[in-house]
Amino acid sequence: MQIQSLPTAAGYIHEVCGELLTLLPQKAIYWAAKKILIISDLHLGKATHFRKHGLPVPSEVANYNFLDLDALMLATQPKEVILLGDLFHSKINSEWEAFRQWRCQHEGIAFHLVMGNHDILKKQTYHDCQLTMHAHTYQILPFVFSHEPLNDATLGYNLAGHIHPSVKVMGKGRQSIKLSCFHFTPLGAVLPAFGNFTGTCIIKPEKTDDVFLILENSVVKM
Amino acid sequence: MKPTSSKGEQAVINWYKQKKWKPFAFQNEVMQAYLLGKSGLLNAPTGSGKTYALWLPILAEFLNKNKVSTKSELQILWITPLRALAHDIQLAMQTACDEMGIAWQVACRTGDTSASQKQKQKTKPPQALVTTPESLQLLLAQRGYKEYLGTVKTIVIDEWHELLGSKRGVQVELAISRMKTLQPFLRVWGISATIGNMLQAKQVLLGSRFDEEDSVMIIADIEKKIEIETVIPEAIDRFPWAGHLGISLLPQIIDIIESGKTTLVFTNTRSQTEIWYQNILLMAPQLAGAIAMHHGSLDIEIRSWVEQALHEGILKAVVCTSTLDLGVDFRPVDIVIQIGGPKGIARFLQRAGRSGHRPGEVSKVFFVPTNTLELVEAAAMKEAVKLKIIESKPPLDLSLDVLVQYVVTLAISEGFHAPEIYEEVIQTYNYRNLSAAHWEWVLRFITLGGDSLQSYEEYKKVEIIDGLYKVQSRRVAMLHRLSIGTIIADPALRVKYMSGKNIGTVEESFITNLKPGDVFWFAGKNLEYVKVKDLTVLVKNTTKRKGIVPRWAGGRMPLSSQLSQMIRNKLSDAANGNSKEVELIALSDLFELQKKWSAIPNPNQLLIEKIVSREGYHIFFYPFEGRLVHQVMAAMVALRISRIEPNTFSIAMNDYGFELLSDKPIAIEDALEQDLFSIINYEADIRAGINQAEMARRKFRELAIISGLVFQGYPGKYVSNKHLQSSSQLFFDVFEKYDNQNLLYLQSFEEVLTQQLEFARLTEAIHRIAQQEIILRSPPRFTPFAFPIMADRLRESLSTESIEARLERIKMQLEKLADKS
Repeated sequence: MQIQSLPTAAGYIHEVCGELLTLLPQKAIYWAAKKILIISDLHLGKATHFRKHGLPVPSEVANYNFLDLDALMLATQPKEVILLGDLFHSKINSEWEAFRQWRCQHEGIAFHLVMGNHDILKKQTYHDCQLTMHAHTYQILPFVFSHEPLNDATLGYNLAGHIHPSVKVMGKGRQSIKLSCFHFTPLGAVLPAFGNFTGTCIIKPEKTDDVFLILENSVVKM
Repeated sequence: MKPTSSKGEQAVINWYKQKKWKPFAFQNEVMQAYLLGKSGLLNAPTGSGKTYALWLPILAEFLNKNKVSTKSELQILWITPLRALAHDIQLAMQTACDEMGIAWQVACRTGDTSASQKQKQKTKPPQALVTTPESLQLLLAQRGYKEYLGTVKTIVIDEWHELLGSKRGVQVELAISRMKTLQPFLRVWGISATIGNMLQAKQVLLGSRFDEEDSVMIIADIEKKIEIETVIPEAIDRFPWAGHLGISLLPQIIDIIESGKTTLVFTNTRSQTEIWYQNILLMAPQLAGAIAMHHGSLDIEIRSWVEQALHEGILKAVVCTSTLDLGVDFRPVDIVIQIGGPKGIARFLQRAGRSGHRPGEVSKVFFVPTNTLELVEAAAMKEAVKLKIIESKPPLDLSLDVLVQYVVTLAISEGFHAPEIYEEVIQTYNYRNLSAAHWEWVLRFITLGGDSLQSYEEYKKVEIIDGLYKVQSRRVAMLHRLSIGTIIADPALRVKYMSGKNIGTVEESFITNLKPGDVFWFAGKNLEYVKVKDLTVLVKNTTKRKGIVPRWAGGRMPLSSQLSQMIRNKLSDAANGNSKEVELIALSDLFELQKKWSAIPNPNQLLIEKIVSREGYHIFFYPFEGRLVHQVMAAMVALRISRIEPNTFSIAMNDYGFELLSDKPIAIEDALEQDLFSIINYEADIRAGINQAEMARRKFRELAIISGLVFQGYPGKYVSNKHLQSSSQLFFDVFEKYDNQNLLYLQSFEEVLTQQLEFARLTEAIHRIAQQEIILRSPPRFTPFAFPIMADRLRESLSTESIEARLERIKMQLEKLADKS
């Protein structure tokens, strides 16, 4: 199995609809049986967008996004990559060109983009980057991929992004820490945001949900 | 003393005569110094005529000039920390002008001033302008500020003790440094209440461009008489816990309120204000309509109404927090009640001074302890007042966030040349140690967006055009202007009636724990929570009782080190049976028991108690250094003990001591043998013991807002920036990961250490303890000193209902044991 090429101790293998998904501490899911890598909310270009408006986000943020992507590709060696929306943060800037070049280094791999609310670039721009676009959903049974979580499971078990989920874990002495997480409900799951300059939203899971916390180098079930 | 007086002086003397006032010696002193062209600091209390002390010399000098021209140019800038005060000061100043026949216009410019008024002030400047530190920064952000401010001859900073030690004070330092270049003969005057470091206060105000000979310090020779009376409970709890006792003193408090004309009831937190207001009304329903409350989370309209009603003397009492510490005098106020230890001498004096503020009158203040041990604090307070001991206000150092804000301000108005501004800035106290390297960093930060030269082309904020640092983008300029005026507040949600009327604000964390239909007590009303919509909490009135009271963060002030010192002395008196004060005599039973079960330390001893209970193994330490120092010290001690033998502790503390609790025995004897309080490596141990990163992360929010990393938003002004939203937390994270040499990031750690953790004081305390004799005792049960610390811990971990009953039960058991022994 491909899983073995991964730092296996790191990922958490979770069974959904009879399929094994590896939840990675790099904030992505690897579907080993199909060799599909699923990533959500990269928000590329955000650091540069801020900098253009006089907000001094360290410029290294952008570079590290690509370094993180490289590491992920190397570890999983996927045949297909599904991006769950909000690939690019806002209007076009130099980071898009960096992304295009990065994409070119992975010629043989199919890239699918389910459009998110931040994806406002021209269609042609995406085409030029060899991204297959999906307006709302993209289905590979038993799953259906979307940006915003779907309310029903008629098309399949939903894998989505958009929320940037995190949970607050209380420690000793009234200290608390916020951790990004994967949030699995009976209808679908929400992935953490991949981009390293993205905020998070604290979720309140129901009893029937499963939450997987992302630690430094591992994923643990809450 | 002087043979002849000038025309101006004569006019002032006549003015005093008309008013049937007699000028104080200090008022004359200021007159002489001012007419000689000096700058200086006037040390005078609120309500001593300090405004006139400076304003009249200014008018006298004007009259002395032969040409009585009233050209339309700004002459005097008057800075006040509270915009609520600006209007009253302006009125007093204008009246004096009118009465002396000087055709000057005194105007007011604060966040409340309308755009059209501001425009008028710009095209036809008044001769004097009363404004706040923020509005002064906004003036520097205006095109043409050099001409506008260049005519100012004197700048007066009122209530300088309030600004000193704050970032608003640093803003003032910077503005003065600029104005001194625009007008080399600028005179700077400060007015300050008494603080422990008056000379330093003057030094900070004037910076290094003023010579000693050019400046004076004038101290008002007003002996303010203060009468402090402690309300002593009839029955003394030998096992005190906070918050419990005060309410039982309500009958006495109501008697005090009834006896006077108007009473200000000061509490230490907003929550306490709500609780006391509620309880006073319950006990004395006849006061309904005649009492009100005042605190920082109430809507401004409610607060203004209360202030107005205070002036008019139609209120019998106002329950309030520090929001009424400062400000214009409320003449009808003749009594002040302080509930709970005020924790600082300066604050206590300031509050006491709110009653009987007219010269010659006595300030009458009652102290109401909220637990019996606070009686020691009362005795210590009285002693400190008698000995005229008072706290210092340490100035800030190298506040780079304020500097970043300031230079961008200059870049949006007229632009600046770096060498010129650097020369000015390093003459201020705050930036006297600003290295060229730090300055370079600041310049790179505003022009390149950081230290890295990579991908800087796209960064747009300040640009360098022929050596001039300038902001070109109107959008950047607008966002910056809006953020100058922002007061850094905790994120709060507005509370509104369904009908739309504003009530005030509560913290988000409080509301997230409420369900629709829950009742909470706020602004003195029982409110039912309906829903949250658009950052607004919608509520309606309800008749349901038993609501919970919101908690606001940052409510608790730590005990000041001067007061701690006094408390240690008072305890030592008690230990030796030398107590003379009524407060301490009232506590003799408690002291007796403490001595019998354990000991009372004298100033060269540190008491440690080792107690085993059903909860586990407790160690109590009593350094009497205030809650903050204890918090850090406890973390350090816990770390050192667990090095000898791995252990985990829960930690609790109050202003007098701290507790370590574990489920297995604590090797305290071994630890003491190995020098638990050793000064070797203590700094490293402290850094390791506390989660400094988390504290710095919280501190960073303020820095991020001031230096313009995040835009806080501005009430009533919507700026479309959908794709530019972020939080200070996010910035902290990326700096931590990708730019951990960022000076603003590093500053947040420095501020945690020096300000939040009072590192200097901690160092002093640890050095002191290293010299002390350690007394280790193993009392049979919780001692009177230990009980309140334990009670505090339990209260924070359990729900209110169950805890009160439980604490009462423990207390009863202890009392029984105490009676038997």
